[in-house]
Amino acid sequence: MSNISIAQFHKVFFEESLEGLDAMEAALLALDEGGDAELVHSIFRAAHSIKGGSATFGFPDMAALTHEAESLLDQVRDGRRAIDKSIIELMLRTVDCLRGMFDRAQNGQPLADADSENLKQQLAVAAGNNVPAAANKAAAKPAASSGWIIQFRPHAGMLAGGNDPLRLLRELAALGQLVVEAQLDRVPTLDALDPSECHLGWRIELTGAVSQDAIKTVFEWVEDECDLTIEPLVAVAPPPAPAVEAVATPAAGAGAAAGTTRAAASSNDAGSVRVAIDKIDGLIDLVGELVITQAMLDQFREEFDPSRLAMLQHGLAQLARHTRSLQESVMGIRMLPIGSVFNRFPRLVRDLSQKLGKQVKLDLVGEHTELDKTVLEKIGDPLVHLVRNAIDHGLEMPEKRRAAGKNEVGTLRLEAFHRGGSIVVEISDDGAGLNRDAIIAKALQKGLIKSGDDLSDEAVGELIFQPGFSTAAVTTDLSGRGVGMDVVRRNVVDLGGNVAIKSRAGQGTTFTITLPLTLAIIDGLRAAVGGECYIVPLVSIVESVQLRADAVRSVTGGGELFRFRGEYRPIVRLHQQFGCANARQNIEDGLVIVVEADGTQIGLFVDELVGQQQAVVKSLEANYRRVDGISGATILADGSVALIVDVAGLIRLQSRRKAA
Amino acid sequence: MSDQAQYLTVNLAHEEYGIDILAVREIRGWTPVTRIPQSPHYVLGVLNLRGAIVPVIDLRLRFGLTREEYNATTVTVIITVAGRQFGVVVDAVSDVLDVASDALRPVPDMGTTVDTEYLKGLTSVGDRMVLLLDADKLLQPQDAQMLDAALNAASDVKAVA
Repeated sequence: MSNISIAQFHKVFFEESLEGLDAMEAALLALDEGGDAELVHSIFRAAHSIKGGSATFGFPDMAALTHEAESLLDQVRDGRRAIDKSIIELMLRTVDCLRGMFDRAQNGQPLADADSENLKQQLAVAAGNNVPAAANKAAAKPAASSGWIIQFRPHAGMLAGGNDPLRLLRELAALGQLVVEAQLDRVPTLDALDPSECHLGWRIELTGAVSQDAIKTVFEWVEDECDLTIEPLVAVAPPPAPAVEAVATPAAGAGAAAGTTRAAASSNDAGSVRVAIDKIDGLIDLVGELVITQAMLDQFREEFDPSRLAMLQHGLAQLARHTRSLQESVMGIRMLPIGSVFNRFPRLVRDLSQKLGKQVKLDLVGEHTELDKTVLEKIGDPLVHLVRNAIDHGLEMPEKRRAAGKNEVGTLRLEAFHRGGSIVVEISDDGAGLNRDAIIAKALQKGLIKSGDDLSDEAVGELIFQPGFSTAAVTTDLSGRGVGMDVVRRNVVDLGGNVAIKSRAGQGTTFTITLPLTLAIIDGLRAAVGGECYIVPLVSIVESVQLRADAVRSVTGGGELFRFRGEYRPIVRLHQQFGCANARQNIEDGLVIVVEADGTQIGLFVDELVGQQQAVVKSLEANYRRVDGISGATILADGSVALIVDVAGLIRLQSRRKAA
Repeated sequence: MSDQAQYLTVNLAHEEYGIDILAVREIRGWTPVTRIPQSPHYVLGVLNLRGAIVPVIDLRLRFGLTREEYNATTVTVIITVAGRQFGVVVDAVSDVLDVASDALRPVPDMGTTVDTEYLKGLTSVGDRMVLLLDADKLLQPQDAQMLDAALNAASDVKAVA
């Protein structure tokens, strides 16, 4: 055994296995709706590589569980039993359980728990009970045997094929107790020894109720590269001491190595992105172009002659162009398809609809739409919430749908697409729509509105985003939604996006989430306040107005209001909020920027607007801490730092002040 | 032979202070910074250190001294502590000292303008006395507490029902 620690490959193994589990889950769900044999094969392949990998990387508990699942799948694959709901359910639970094991493995915790042991048993029972009579005859006698003697002699070239005998032994160890005896008779003298060849053979006594098939499966990949005999263990000897040198030493060594590096790996878990090769190639091309442009501009440094001014301008224009494309490409690396978030929904929809006794067809559209990784990670929870709401409150029970003349199977549609500089995600159902009367009644009771008579559908939809609506008093009987919708909106707004709702009674509801393409660069306006410069994100700006002094009303308690489009809005004087000195005090001398977030508008009083620019968002928290009303910082063209105004945060501060 | 450590000495109101040189990232001339709202008075603001946003504190204000005009010798020393960078503004940098660990004396609880909490010892070089700063504590501990409070507040917001 070499001393190279295999633990360094754990991360890749985890990533690949989790992808494998996702694939397994997707295939199982497809199978549930009536799929073909190819699906069974792909499930089997995923399980098999997880089993092989987990045994190689020293996770015997995981290997044992996948092994049982694989045996069951093998029977399905060979057509020895038909796939049914119970098997799919069992497999889905296995997928969940394995996910939990991977979680624990990443944290260096023990993998097996009561759940996994229980599941392993159920899988074994399912696989054992249902072996039909024909196959049973062959397996029955050996199965009664309490063990097997396995003669395993790898051919000299087996290692070259990438197969590790040790891994096979470990897989066998997962099946039962092993007594391994190494056969050294073919080991040549030291001068004739070729370290790349395998000279050892093993005689293995495997104790335990293991089927011959299970053993054969272990050796499946090396059948042609070894001499293998499997015979039942005749003498029923008392089980010998569990571990024997040949296996125990290297396995323990690997285990210890895995233990140490696992701790190291978890400490520098900064997350990773898988990038398509063509994106990287594109970047390399661009950098090549940039180097050429730079070389061209470098010529001017030697001697500058005014007659070559045109060339210089041309070079600078090229530089600007390349920089812009480089920026776009680098941002592109952070972009991942939204499919990775959508993937969890088939399972969620299936489980929920079964639980609630509803029939739901899920349509996923635009899974390839790409989103910034950060946005992607944070949009999952709000989407889950909306999907859960749609199934729970939106879609009706089959009888009710039939009575309303609709298809018994409700449709839930998730669609992602680009619109302008944003990504739009729509969640629509063809359910009952919002219960207008119930919402208005609730809002009246909460004192959110005074009368519900002349409210438009849009205004009614807005009501469910009110924090007051997310109380336990809103139960599922109220077929309108509203549980935690304010949290959904706040999460989306924190990402710089927005949520809108459209509902038609009896026809369904559509939630539209608009998200920025990226969080790393925003468009903003530079606002000057007393010699300082703040960036206000363009997305939150409604308008900027110059107010006359008589348009502003003071309220007792120090607040100020101004009239904008028929409504009174509070004014936040940025210089007071941020404590800037030498700012303009007179409202007529400055500008009021009307900004909106969370569906609330306020006016920000600043000295003047200086200009528009793209701002690369930098974190203040990395080296300092969070500051109320500031979402980050950016670097201006002159190298100085400007702070970015957190509009949603300011509005929250303002309403808190009002409440206080 | 005992362990040796190197200290960068800086001047502050006619006293000499030492900063562990392993924590010092760079020394740069004073340049104006961008003020941050709602910060303690000794946090002057943030500056752009090759793309990273780095807070800058005035060591005089941190220690409750009066602030003098910044002049040609005023420098910002960029320090890295526990992965975080920040700058400290001092009157001038003067020297690099080798200090053996047995030459380190505890700080008597009086006689200095600086709160002894921020000192980890003093040493003498000839007839000069050098106070050794505990860099970890300069931006802490109040700020660490504020940070925790902010993080807690942020986490309730994230919870989706």
